[in-house]
Formats: sequence, C-alpha cells, structure tokens
Amino acid sequence: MPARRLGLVAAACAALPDIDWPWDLPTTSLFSHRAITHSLLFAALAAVVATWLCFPREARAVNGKTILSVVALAAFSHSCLDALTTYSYGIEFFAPFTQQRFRFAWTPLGSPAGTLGGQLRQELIVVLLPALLAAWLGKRFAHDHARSSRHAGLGL
Amino acid sequence: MRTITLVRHGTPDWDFRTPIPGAALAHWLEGERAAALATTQRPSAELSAQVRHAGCVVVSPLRRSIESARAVAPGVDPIVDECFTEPALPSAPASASRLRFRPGVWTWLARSAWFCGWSRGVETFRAARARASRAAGTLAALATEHGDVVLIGHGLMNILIAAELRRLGWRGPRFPRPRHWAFAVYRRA
Repeated sequence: MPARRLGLVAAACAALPDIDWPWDLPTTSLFSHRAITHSLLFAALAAVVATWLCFPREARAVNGKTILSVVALAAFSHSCLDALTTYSYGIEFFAPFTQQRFRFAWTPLGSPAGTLGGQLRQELIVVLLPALLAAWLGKRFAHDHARSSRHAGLGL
Repeated sequence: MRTITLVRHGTPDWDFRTPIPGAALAHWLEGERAAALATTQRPSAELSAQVRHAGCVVVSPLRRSIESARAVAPGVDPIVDECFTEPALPSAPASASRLRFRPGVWTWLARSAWFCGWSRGVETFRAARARASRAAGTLAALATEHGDVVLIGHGLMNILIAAELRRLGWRGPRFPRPRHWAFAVYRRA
C-alpha cells in the first residue's frame, strides 16, 4: 500500500469540503458554507474520484476498497469535526436530500470568549491529541501485526 | 432444536436504475410498495427446502412479502402481521434540489438521516427497534407452538429482529445478508 501518497491524498480530501468557503452564498443555497460539500454524498463522490485519479492501479487491486474507505473517512471527518463546533452554521450531512443542518449533541469546539488562543487550546485537546493517540496505536498495531506475521512465516 | 429463518423477499418488478430528483422519492417508494414480484429471480433450492420443513410461514402485509411467500411456499396460508413491515423512509421536502440520482442513492441518504433521528413524521428508529423486539417475541412464541418458523420479511427489519433474537438467546448470524431471497437461520435448543 502506498502509505505516503495515501496520507497526502487523505489530507487533501479532509480539507476539500471547505472549497465552499470563499463564496459567501445565502444558507438556503445548496452551495453555501457547510452545505453539500460537507455532506455524506460529497465525501463518497470525492473519495471515488480521488481514488480513481490518484490510485488507478491500486483501485483495481485487492486493497482498492481499503484505499477508498480511508479517503472517504478522511473526507467525512471534516464534516464530523465541524459538527462538534458551536460557531458558524450546522452541517447539511444529508444534502441534497434534505438541507436540514445538524450539530452533534456534544459541541466542545468554539471558545465562548471567542479568543483564538482558547479555540486553539480546545482543538489541541479535542482533535490533535486524540488524533496523535490514534496514530500511535495504529502504528503499534501494524508493527505487532507485521512481527506476528513474520514469526508465523518462520514457523515460530 | 427449533429454528427461525429470516428471509428477505424477492426482487420487486420496479425501476431501480432511472435517476430521479430527491423530492420524487416518496412517489417512487409508493410505486415500489405496490410493485409485484419480478419473475426473473427465483428462490434457491436450499431456501425452498427450509420453507418446506417449516411449521409456520409469516409475512408482512406488503405485496412483495406476500408474493415471495407464494413463490417459495405455494399452497401455504401465511400468517400476516403488520409488525414485520419495513420501517418507512422519510421523504424529502418539496423544496429539495432538482439533482437526479438513482433511487438507491436517495434511499441511502434518507435511511442515514433516519438513523440520525430525522424521521419527519414516519416511525422513528427507536420505535422501529421496539417493534422489532415485539416481532422477535412473536416469532419465538410461534416457534414454541409450531417448531420451525420462516419469516419472509424485509432487509432492515430482519436485521433489527436478528439482533433481538440473539438477545433472547437464539444463535445465528449477527447480520442477515441484505440480498433479495437471502436467508439466515437462528437456532435454539
């Protein structure tokens, strides 16, 4: 699996939903901020296109579905993190089927005082630290898995 | 050993391919509800054998469920019970976008929204789970009375019932396969 390329594509897809940001359209528009580009459908379509463009050979191989799932999860993680915020609009998760905007019941992001420092501190605790922990656990799991596979191959 | 077999109905003779706008989903679902069973797909011999040995066949009042029972067990008079009906999907507001997708895309979005609590007047996920619990109780009672029971039901409702059966101590797959005519057997001593 091309891990480095996958990481870069996943990061790009995670940032992609905010392409709606520069145009300040009214919230009733399907293309307003946190509307269709933050939907489940957009994440799925973006993942299919990105996998097809960036991993044309791997997409047809056995790990094609894994690559597609990683990219789709990365794209959708953006909307899920936005749904944890108190600022800006809710998320149109199910656009274009419904333009109902949603937030999660738990919205820890968004400093009541509105200071940038406070907001960054919250994002560090709620987003960055869990992400680093998940990355460390993932790496450890992959390392253990590779070692046990090697031992099994040697008949140990 | 008693068994409960959860079967998904056969394929309805309905257009699943032509793209439609989201606002037309409710109309499309009405058509699917009224559609007869497609004659192109037949139940497997394995399923037919399973139904032949059953002491009781149960269906929902929906046409595709009743006609599937007729196809797999001709001459058998099935028990019809509303509690096995598939939970309805919420419909899009009339103001929904005019974008056209295959009905499968719209049903996927509608079901996802429904799981997240956006039921818009139809039965909620929580209510559907409570109904599945009652349905599992009904099937267990029928199994006590008749021995082997076959339910010819629906994709999601079968999954919810399977979870309830497993909770009641029946052993079988966690998720019955969602394909048409697929089935899963649950056993209890």
